Amino acid sequence: MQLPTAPPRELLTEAAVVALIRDAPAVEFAAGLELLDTNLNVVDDVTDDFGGGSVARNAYATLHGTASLGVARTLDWGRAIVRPYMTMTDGTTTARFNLGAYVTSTPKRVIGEEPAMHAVAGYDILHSLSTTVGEAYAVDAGVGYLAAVATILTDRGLTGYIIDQSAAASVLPSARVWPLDQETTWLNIVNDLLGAIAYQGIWSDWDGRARLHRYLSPIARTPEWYYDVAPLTSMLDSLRTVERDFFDAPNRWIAVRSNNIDGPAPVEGDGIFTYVNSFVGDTSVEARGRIISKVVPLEAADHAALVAAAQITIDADMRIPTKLTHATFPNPLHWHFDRLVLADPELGPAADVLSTQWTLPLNGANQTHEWTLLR
Amino acid sequence: MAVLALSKLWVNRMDNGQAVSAQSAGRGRNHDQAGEVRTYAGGRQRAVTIAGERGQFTFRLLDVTLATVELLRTWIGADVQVRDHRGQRFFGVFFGVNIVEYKDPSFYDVAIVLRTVTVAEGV
Repeated sequence: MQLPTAPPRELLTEAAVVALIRDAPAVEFAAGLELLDTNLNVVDDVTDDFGGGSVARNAYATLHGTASLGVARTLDWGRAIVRPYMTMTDGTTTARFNLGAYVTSTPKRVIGEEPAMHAVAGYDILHSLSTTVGEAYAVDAGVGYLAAVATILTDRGLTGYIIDQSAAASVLPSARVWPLDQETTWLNIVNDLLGAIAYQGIWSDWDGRARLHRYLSPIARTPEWYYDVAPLTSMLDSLRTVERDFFDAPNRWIAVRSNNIDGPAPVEGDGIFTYVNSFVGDTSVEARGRIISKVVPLEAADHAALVAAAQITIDADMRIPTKLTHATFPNPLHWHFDRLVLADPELGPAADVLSTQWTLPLNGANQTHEWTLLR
Repeated sequence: MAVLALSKLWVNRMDNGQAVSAQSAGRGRNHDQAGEVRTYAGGRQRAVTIAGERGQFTFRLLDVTLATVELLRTWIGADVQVRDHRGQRFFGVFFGVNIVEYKDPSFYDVAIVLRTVTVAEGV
């Protein structure tokens, strides 16, 4: 999530911002739009020509951020960068929340309306990385992972970035080459490099800056927001949807060594490992009344390694995530893979959840979310 | 400071200053803002308001000629300024004119609902 007192709210206290979002009995919303240059400097405020819209984020999408905006001014479509923002006030505290930088697409223009309102889709500022490289690309041995990423960002015109330098000393032990193909994008290369030093995939923040940080398991992170249903602090819509979809979950796994091409044909106990969940949980053979098989090809050094690797897949498949889909009072602090606590008696004891998707209308309408239960 | 006392209601186009004036009746205005009170889990009632007060000034121009009626028709959707004898001034747009025939065949009453707009006034 955005820090409550991150700029442009640095003059407010965290308590005041939280109270405005969570506690104020009556809140007024307004929205605005800034035009930025490629260095994320504000070129113009086009709020007078801004017809509102929404901002959305899907943490599992290739490009996380998208925006849907109405603009009654002709911009340099296809390259103009805009940053929507929302302001909230309860009459005492007024806070502004930047909501990311987006590259504008070519808009739909409604003819017959004066002035013409352009319906514009905005794409995450990381869009410039999401293009095919178009040639083989290599990073030499001895080059720092983070230095290699920084070079790519700068070359692609992304000059606003914040890099956690804790892995600055990590260098490639051998050259890494990405072949020429249609699927290799700059984003793939950046995330491959980050993955090698245990960093999470690159993401862009509320101001439009690229963020590169070390990966930390969601459960190990400090909760960033506490949602409950108490009379004075409830922000959850009264209608909530809970889904735990295990319909296609397997209960029989056949793991096969896929990297022993020149050896003897795999057999059970030597190259093939089969596991059947007969009785555990609601995905078991007994509970479902039938066998649902899944073949898992794995690269493994020997049969013991095959069994160990298969167990990871089996554990993941048996741990079907519970998804919560619902709306809340607008909380513009939400951002990327937010770690939350949900205290909702309808769902049992207070639970740790991970926000994976949200859509925030800029007109004060409720914000929609998709959360995954962590435990 | 000069004080302008108006004896009639005046409507001026903002782009060219063209004016219409007439005695008026049925004047009134109202202001509102988009908003609602929502129900959240646990029964909490919370108010949400969208910034931007909406204003409306309603008036009827009395005994205007057919030429004025036709002129006002061409002003539909144009920025106008409306001033009355009370010293009130509104900037806005009207999207229709409601024309009522007067007993004298040369004159009409014209009812207008002005939707106010935000403008930057020069100083």
